[in-house]
Amino acid sequence: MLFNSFQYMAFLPVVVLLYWSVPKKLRPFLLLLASYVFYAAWKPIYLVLIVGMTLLNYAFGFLIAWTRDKTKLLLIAAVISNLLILGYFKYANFVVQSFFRILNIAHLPHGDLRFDVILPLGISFFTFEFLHYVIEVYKGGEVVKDPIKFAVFAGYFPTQIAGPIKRYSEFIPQITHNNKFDINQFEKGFVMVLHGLAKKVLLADNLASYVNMVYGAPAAATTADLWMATYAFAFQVYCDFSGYTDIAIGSSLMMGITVPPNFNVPYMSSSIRELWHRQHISLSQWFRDYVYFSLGGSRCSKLRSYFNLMVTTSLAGLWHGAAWHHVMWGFFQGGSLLVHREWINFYQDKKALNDFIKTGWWKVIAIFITFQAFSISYVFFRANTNSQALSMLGRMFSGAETHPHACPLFLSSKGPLVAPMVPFILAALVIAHIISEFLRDKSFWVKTPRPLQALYCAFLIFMMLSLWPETSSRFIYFQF
Amino acid sequence: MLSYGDAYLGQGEVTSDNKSEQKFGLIRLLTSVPVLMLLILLTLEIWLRQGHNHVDALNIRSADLWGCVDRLALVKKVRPQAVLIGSSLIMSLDQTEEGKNYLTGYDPVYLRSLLDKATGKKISCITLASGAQMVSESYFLAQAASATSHPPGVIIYGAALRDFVQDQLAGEWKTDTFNSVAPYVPLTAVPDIYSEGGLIRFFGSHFCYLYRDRDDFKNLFAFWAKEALEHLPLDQPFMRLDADCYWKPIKSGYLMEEWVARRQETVLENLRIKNPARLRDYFKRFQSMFYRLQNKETSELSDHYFKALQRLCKRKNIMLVVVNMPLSPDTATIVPPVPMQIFRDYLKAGGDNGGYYFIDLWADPRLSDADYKDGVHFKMSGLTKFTEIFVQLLQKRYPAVLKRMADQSAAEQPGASK
Repeated sequence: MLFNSFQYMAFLPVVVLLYWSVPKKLRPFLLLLASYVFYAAWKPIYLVLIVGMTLLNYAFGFLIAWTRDKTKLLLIAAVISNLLILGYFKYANFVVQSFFRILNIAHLPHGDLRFDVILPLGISFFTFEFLHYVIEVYKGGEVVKDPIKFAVFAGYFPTQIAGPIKRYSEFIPQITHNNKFDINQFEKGFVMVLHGLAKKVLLADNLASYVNMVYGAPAAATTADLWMATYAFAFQVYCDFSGYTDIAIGSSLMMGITVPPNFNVPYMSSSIRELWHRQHISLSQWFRDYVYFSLGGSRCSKLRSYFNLMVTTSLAGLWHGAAWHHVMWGFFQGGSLLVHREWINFYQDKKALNDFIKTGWWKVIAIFITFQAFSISYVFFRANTNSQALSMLGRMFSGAETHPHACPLFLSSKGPLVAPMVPFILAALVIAHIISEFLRDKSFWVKTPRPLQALYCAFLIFMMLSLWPETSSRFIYFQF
Repeated sequence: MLSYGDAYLGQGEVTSDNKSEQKFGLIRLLTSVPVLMLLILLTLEIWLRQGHNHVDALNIRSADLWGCVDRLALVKKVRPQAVLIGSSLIMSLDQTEEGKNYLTGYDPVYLRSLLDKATGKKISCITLASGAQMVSESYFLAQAASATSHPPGVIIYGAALRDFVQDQLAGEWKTDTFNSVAPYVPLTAVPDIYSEGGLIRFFGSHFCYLYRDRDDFKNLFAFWAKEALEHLPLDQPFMRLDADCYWKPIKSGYLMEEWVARRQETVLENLRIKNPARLRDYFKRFQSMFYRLQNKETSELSDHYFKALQRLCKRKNIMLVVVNMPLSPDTATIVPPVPMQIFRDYLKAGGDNGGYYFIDLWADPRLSDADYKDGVHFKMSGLTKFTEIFVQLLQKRYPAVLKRMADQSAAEQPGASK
């Protein structure tokens, strides 16, 4: 079930109403039932997968807790089992095709093999939650005894498909304590759902039509288009994924349940390190805790810690998609983090530079540079192949096409109407980001009078009704 | 303590202490954001339901592009004995002697006068035809017109092959009148709705004017955006219709969003006077587009609604008269003969099976090229000829239809027993 579908618009109110109506003891059952209905709405057969993995990890949890003082073998078995399932569904074709490519290079004969596997929705997210659970239990965390609550943790419908990746120690108590209905939380949740939907429908989907036009035929695009589409894609991803997250968090809040934050005005970050603390926060933390720290983190030699960083970010890239250009994107993130660390080392003992870096001027410059670097990395993310990405980057940085003969596509009246509006939408989003950065610690929304909040919500609904695209697109992160 | 949310909404914090267990009263509930929002939307909804077509007043294409809502209200008020449905071919019967109102009228004056003569009674007749009306639209309009205690005794359906095969308008919701008419169509029509997309949109438009009128605002926004964006150095201006009815990238002329019925009438009428050959060419090209691609699904959908229309008329005891509408001999040459023959046979078979009263006026030799404004719509001379032929055929073949009108008219007269 898509969040931006009529199905979900009917599903959510029914679930929320039932949630607050049924006896408290039945709420976990209701959440589980709703979550499985939500999942089965896509392909009922894959319900077997999520139920199977839940049972497997539930059992592993007990076994690991039982034997954790004696052996690590069960943890390894649990991690491998989860990774094998994820690997099969997500990476089988990628591994086989990459292997064949190597054989091709070596001129060795091989047959053809393809796994016609449909990637189950949300598998990466609930697998990461299972891994988190078994690792934490091994580290001494409490085992979840109630199978229903454990199943709700993994299958919880608002976060089932694209996160945020939850921590069981924060989530399980919330469905255990049975909070009373809080109108303030409900209102916040309601507004967030609408706000997230508007981000997706009004911004992400409209920006997508221009981005798709440019990335669909980059040869026909001018240098200015390539830059504009790159920025547009950065904001499309932000609006799409943070829109999804807003709906997930808002849906949860309407039931009095909080899930971890995932975005915090990321493009106002003054370093790539800060950006990953403010963008897809739950995934960054997961990779930090379970990959980077497991590899040794930064408590080792400088070279080794850099290696750890590159491995972690490349794996994060691979997680985003089974393709080398996604690995390259992750590698780019790792490279940016290394450059940032080296930069800190460089200026630390230079007093004048150090003083300048503490000024507001530098912050503005740093935000600009960080956003540029991050947007450029998205060329690898969005392009179909590394060679296409490199070719596009080459054109973006070459001065040859600065004055193209052809008019840029964003000045085209033949394409989607949104194309000539893209620069204005981007400018508005930049301004919105700047305003949000100033407002984020001031509880601005909470202090806004309710009639104004209601007016804003009504405006969003009106705009969405008017400008909802005839064909809704999926959320970008659903494929991960 | 858990933080949540993106900063656009202001970073908030939710505590797990007893703050979340605060009690709230009825007043708080009634002044909560969702309730207030619903009140605002309800106010907007009521405002939209007042019947004023604000977007149309700005000369922008609205959900009610063809003024069906007013005409349906007139049907309810006047309780006519006959209602005309179909495309602009039959709509042109509304034109005045000066040639006006052939796309905006509702009163087929000459037909009415002939029916008066033929029946000896005062027959009222209202046109619910609209431009490029598809069969699904005709069905929904018939549903809306007959959703009354006094449905019209006769529905005259001016059918054309195009209405059954135009792929671009195959989905019910893609047609011009679907949204505007949906609120007036009774829910008993729901089982007859063919596609899932149509069903969802029907419910949306039936219950919610905010949804029904969504394209009004979309058109308005698109119009404003295009007008504003023309100030940019675009590669070429947006497509507009020039005075000679050519769609081309120019800065003057009408955008598609502005192409409302009364403008169509004015522009086409001016062109007819200035350059009749160009007008004929325009409609010939326009017509030829419809027959290039023919999707089987479109025909199935049309057949579904045509049969639903027949069932509706039977259920409501309405006499359905189907007229295969003619085009000018010149324009008729572009219509592929085999599909046309199949279509004529299909209509005839329906008539023979008692589904309706069928009159085939396709390629009637009494109508010449000179009887058409543009090869498609009648001039006054064509209107006169067509109407006379039609009424004569009714008298000759289907006197029961005229009798039904006469009887209903008599029953409607003041003092008539009810």
